[in-house]
Amino acid sequence: MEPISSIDIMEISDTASIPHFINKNGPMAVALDVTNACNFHCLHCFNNSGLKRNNELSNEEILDVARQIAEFNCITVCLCGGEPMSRSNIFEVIECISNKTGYLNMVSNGSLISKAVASNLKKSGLYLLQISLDGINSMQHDTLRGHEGAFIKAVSAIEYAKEAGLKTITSFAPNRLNYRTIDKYIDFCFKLGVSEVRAMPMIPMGRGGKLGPLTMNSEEYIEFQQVFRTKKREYQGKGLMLEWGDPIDHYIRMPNNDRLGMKTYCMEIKSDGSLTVSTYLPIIVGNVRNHSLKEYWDNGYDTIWGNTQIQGYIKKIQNIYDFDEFEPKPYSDEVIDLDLLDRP
Amino acid sequence: MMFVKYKTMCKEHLFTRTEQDGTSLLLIKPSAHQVFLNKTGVKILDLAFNYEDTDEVLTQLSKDYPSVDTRILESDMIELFHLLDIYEIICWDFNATKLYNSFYLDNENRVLVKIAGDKDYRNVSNFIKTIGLKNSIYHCQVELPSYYDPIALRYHTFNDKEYGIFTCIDEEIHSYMSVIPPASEESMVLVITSIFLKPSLEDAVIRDLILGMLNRMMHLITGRVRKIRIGDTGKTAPEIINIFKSIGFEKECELKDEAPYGDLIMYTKFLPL
Repeated sequence: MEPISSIDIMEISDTASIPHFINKNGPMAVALDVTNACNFHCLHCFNNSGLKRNNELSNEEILDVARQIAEFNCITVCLCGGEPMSRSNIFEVIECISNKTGYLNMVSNGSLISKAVASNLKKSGLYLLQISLDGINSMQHDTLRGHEGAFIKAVSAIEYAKEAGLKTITSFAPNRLNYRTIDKYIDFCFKLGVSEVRAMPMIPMGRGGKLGPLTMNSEEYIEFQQVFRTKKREYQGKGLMLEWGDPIDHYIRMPNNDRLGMKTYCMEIKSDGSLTVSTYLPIIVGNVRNHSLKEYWDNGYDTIWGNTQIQGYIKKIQNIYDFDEFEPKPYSDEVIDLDLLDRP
Repeated sequence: MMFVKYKTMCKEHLFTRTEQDGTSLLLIKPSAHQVFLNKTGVKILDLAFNYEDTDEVLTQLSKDYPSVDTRILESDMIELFHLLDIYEIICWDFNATKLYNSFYLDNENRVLVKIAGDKDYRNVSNFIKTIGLKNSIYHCQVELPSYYDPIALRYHTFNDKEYGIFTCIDEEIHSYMSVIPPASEESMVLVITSIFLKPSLEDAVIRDLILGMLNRMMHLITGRVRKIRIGDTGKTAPEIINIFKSIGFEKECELKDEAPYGDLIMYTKFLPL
């Protein structure tokens, strides 16, 4: 399908009369950060993953959240982090959600996924495993991941996941070390049997704001896009999808969806139980420790993109560098508290 | 790869820890980045510091690894040199190899030609709106100011719909050009869709700016462009058409009653195969 033109997505006017007709009872998708802990210290990590947060949800609490998510009957749920495999009861969380969800996905660096683990993930009900793979060799990948041997482990994880019958995709963070070999990278992923390669611009916030010499300039991005686009055509119909994602896109699309009468598509939950609107902004609208997900949904989260306060904040984001200009800084200790149920 | 001269720059920025198995960990001191090199990488690094052009490095590499395909060695070498370039451990000696190294239009390095990216869209949008759509010297794009909002400019580039190029002096924008890249693998045509200039520039200056921006874009979109095109429906001033003609554009066809304004005349600059 052809993407909507910029005029279409920006010129939608008064459509408030259209009734809300989609996903009345809960979000279509949920993104759950099961932990902030990560065994890597990637140079580009926008959410400063590494140490487990002091106030992270306990194993019992995260299971309770998983049960609530399952009740939504989502089309898709994504388990993110941190490194989700660092959560000690991750298999229980997967089992809890998988039976009542269309697709249960997980994002991982692959380092903790052995053959047996991949098999258990499949048995627990995981559908898709997204492995971060940032190049065609150790120099490209390990440098960005800050961990020697990360490349070999990521490739092994892909092979184990494929063998276990999981749908396996990769994410690629373009930078000045790896963007010139994107064509070889895509060929490499195809040979590995990967179903999809997802790439998006490096977000210059968190540790990603300090990437320095590895940050690509506008010309390098276009060079990258040109090759990516060519390869996308080359692999069309051959079982490898290529996705060039825009981290800004949902700030335009979601408020327009709200004006069209569509309810919030995705609910985002952080490892400390806080509910956010967008993973890139420090705006908190609740916490699962205080109220259930359903209570938040019914009291404003379902139309959160129509919230005028939220719209005021997201209008400030017009390019990827605006994230790091946002006040308070994303992933610092400060947040904007717009709790839907317990107004500060 | 062509023969390229280089100079070793800040070798002191590099700390190398060599492991027993022959691999190395490079610590780039200014950024604290750690780079993991295998044995081949270590070998190329060693050669890089002992020679001054890539041809010599590749020759020596081929001697050291006679059973390995030269193309693989070359690819590894390019990658390592790229890394050293990123971290400013080496710099290319452009004078010695006569490479196109500069994106400045003048000898004093004042007029910079840039591809518009995330850091530029607000400034570019302000520039275009200050000039005004009606005052563009050439325009065959959507006639709505919102088309040139920062977020719309970004959307077009991100989705490969349209790219922007501009020139600036001391951060102040002097000219902007938008182009549509070839629409598919089968297409070889680059279409210029708009040109905005600061007012009161002389024809010779306009010519240099257009040429400079086009060259910059052609440097980026490699290989497959064979034609650069503009389309005029009678809105472009004759003197501007003449400027295009002076840089190699020629009338290719005329389509009768193609637009509400009248006929569409296409001018094309043919590039050598």
